[in-house]
Order: sequence, then structure tokens, then C-alpha cells
Amino acid sequence: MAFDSKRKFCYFKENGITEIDYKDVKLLKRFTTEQGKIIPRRVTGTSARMHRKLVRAIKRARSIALMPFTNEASD
Amino acid sequence: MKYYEILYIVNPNLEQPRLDEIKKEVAAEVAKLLSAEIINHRIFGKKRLAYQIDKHKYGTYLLLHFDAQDNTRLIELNTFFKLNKAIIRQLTVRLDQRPEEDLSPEIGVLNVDERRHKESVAVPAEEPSPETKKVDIPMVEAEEVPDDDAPVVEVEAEEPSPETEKVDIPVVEVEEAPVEEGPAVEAEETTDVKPEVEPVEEKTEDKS
Repeated sequence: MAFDSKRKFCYFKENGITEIDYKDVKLLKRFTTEQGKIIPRRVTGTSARMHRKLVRAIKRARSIALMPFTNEASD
Repeated sequence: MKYYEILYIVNPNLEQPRLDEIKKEVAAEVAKLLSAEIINHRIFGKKRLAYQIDKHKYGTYLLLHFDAQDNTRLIELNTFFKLNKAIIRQLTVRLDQRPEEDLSPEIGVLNVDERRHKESVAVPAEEPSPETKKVDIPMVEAEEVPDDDAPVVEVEAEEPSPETEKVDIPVVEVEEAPVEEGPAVEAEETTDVKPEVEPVEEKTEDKS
């Protein structure tokens, strides 16, 4: 949805974000599908460095039940 | 000087006094094992879990920041968390920088609940304030519980008397509701039950 535009850019670079907090669920949710899967960076345009940090944050959030591993029942 | 952050989930059914006990236990354990200086130790929030853990749907999150002098016994701290039955889950993260001290007054779990309660009570009564919210509420009800169109009607009946603003809102609701069902007859019966239930649902959605 938010990533439909053809020109890709790294959301984090654009906004000067260097660290990603796993507690910031609102932000992390933008980079997962409704089912809870992490959206590939070829789609989001996130830079490699930030995508690694993003992945780490999302996985941490999952382990502490702030985010779902999977959401089978579509909301 | 090694900074750590531990976010742990406590059984949501525990009352504030028991929660304080657990906080003390954890603080004592951290201080004992790691000779650590505690920077922050506060309630992060009572949230709906993204998935059930041990049949729990909700959890009280507690956030702990500390500065460990000696981190060689960190594993023992983890076992302490595992063995504590009140603690459902924990996540320990190493921080690069010293976390900022959060000096804002802490909200107790009880207060959180009270807040919710107040809000839930308030929503039906104080509806006039935000117009957008009012509109949204009826919508949600309609989507989730189709049979409940009646409450909307009720709102109209009750509110119009006090203020002019309220009158405007009900009108919007009326337009939506009538289409789906005939509101008039059942309105009074359902009125009492609905208002209480609805606010709670809204809040949980927001937080999640």
C-alpha cells in the first residue's frame, strides 16, 4: 500500500533515523504485511543496513509478543 | 559500564501491591547478581499480547534499564526470570548508550484500569467533545456487532436533551443505522448493555 510508488527510497535515511527501537510497534508494522511477514526490501526500498536493523527489531518485538509471528485470521 | 534493557511481561491479573513486590524482587536480583545500578524500572503498559502465551491474552509490560558493573552472571538472571511464575516472558537487550532517565510520574496498573473505566463511562456521557470520534464509534459497533444497531438509536434518544452538539451527532448515526435495521422498537432494551461494552473494545484496538 504505502510502497506502491515506483521510485524507491529508504524510509529511514529519508527521515534521518539511525536506530530502530523494537518497542516502536507502530513504525515496525509499516514494514510487515497483514499476516505479519516482513516485507522484502526490494519492495520497501529500505537500505541494506537499515533493513538488517529493522529485521532485528521486528524479531525482537515478536519474541516479546508486541508483534505477531503470524496472523492467519486477516483483520 | 554496560547498559541493559529488560522488557518483561507480568501476569496481567496481578494487583498493584503484588506487582510492586515483583518489582522489588527483580530489582534486588539484578542488584545482587550484576551489582547493577538501576536507571529505570517502570510499567510500560498493559497490552494485548500479539499471540497467546500460556493462555494469557493480555500482559503487563515492565521496562527495566540498568547499568551493570559485572555482566558475567547475566545467565543466572535469565534463569531467575524463567523460574518466577508471575513473569510470563522477558527480553534482555544490550544498549549502546546510557538510557535516559524517565522522570515522568509512573502510572500504576490500577490507575491504568481506572482510566479505562473512566473513559468507558465517559464516552457515552461526554460524547459531544470530538465529532470525529463520535462518528467512528457508531461505525465500529455496526461492523462488529450487526445486531446492535439499536444502541445507536438509544444514544439519540438520550443525548438530544442536554446539548445542541449532541443532537447533530445522533443525526449522522441515524442515517447509517436505519438502513440496516429497524431501530425503533428494540432501542430501549439494548441501551443499557451496549454502551459499556463498546468503549472497552475501542480502547484495546487503539493500544494494539
